[in-house]
Amino acid sequence: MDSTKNDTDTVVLRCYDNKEFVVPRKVARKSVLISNMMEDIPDGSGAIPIHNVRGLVMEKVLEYCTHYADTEVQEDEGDSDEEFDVPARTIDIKPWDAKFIDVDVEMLFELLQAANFLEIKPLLNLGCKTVASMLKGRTPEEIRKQFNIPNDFTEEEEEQIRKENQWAEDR
Amino acid sequence: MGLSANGANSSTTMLDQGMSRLFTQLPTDVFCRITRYLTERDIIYLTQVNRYFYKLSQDEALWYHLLRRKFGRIVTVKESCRLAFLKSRGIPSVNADAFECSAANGRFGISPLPLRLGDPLLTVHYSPDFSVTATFQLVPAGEYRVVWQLYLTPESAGLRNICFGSVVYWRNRLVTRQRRYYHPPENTWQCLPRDQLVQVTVPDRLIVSPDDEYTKVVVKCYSVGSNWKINLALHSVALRAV
Repeated sequence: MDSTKNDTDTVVLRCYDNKEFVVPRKVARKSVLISNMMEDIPDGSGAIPIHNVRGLVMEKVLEYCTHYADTEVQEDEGDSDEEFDVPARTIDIKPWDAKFIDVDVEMLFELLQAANFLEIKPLLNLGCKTVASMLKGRTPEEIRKQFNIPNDFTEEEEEQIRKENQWAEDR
Repeated sequence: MGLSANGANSSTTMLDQGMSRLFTQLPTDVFCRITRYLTERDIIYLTQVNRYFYKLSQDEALWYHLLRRKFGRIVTVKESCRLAFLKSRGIPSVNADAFECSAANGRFGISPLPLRLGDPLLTVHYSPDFSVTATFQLVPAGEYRVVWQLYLTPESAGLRNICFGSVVYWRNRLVTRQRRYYHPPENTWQCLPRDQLVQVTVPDRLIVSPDDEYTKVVVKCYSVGSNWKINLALHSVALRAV
């Protein structure tokens, strides 16, 4: 739109570990945060600092943004923020997304935080769906085992919580 | 071989600790977003994993969304959304909230009525089933009326299946002398004012016979139908000498 902005069609992003990425503007615009920063920072004034995201994670994020650079990611039914009233949504992940998100848990959570911070909603939804699929249908014990989370309730607290949630067992 | 196995083990442990840490570092709104793909049961199970998740699950926003998901847009909750949600899960076979209070004469007051708006004995947000039982020990001989104090809001609904019962015992023995049951007609509820304490007086007189100097009386307010009772609080009950 703006002629000055078309002079350079790439932008430099600098992660907090000083890793720099030169990316096409249309790729960077997938992030609402970066998109807003590009509006505010004049061209040629150097790299856009991206705090909170380390290089390795940014690389993965940019892989996603590059893949969807030319396509508007269609929101799945029920992914919109307005519709909280629908029952639990089905977890439906597209084949490319499934392959993309097949990473270790640590990376998955970092991607989730990065997508949240950078405001890349489709990636955030993808991450949430993936985490949800790891929790779905699991008992508390199974979740603890899967994520190696120690059970730090006292016996009394556990009893209290069981009482509060009795109906969940009855279903 | 033994060494490499050991090495693998220790690295797994480190990674796993990382997992647990990453979970706890997740912002609350991302957590809420994840719960959108989970069923109610999944979420309840998640809150039982450890203290962190239990604390996270106290976030009212989460329960508000779950209530909306369940009841649509018409959700008005005066107290905790979490409690309202858990109570709304009352299954007919289980009392969603049974409260039994037992008090001696002095504390409950045979007459006059305690009229202050204190904590209710029981608040029913959404529940098909509830009951409040109050035991009056050592009620002197005489004739009484049972007076319940309730608090209704404009959203109160499903009241047609609420009943009041009373049992008078022989002295303090477990032998019933007189059993009464009162099911108010539906228009009773429509006529009661809202957003203030109201009194429901059971029309039947309760007679504690003169041959018993003192007797035990048990009164009860309970639901009979399986329809949903919404927004109703029971504040007190008293026996008023006639």
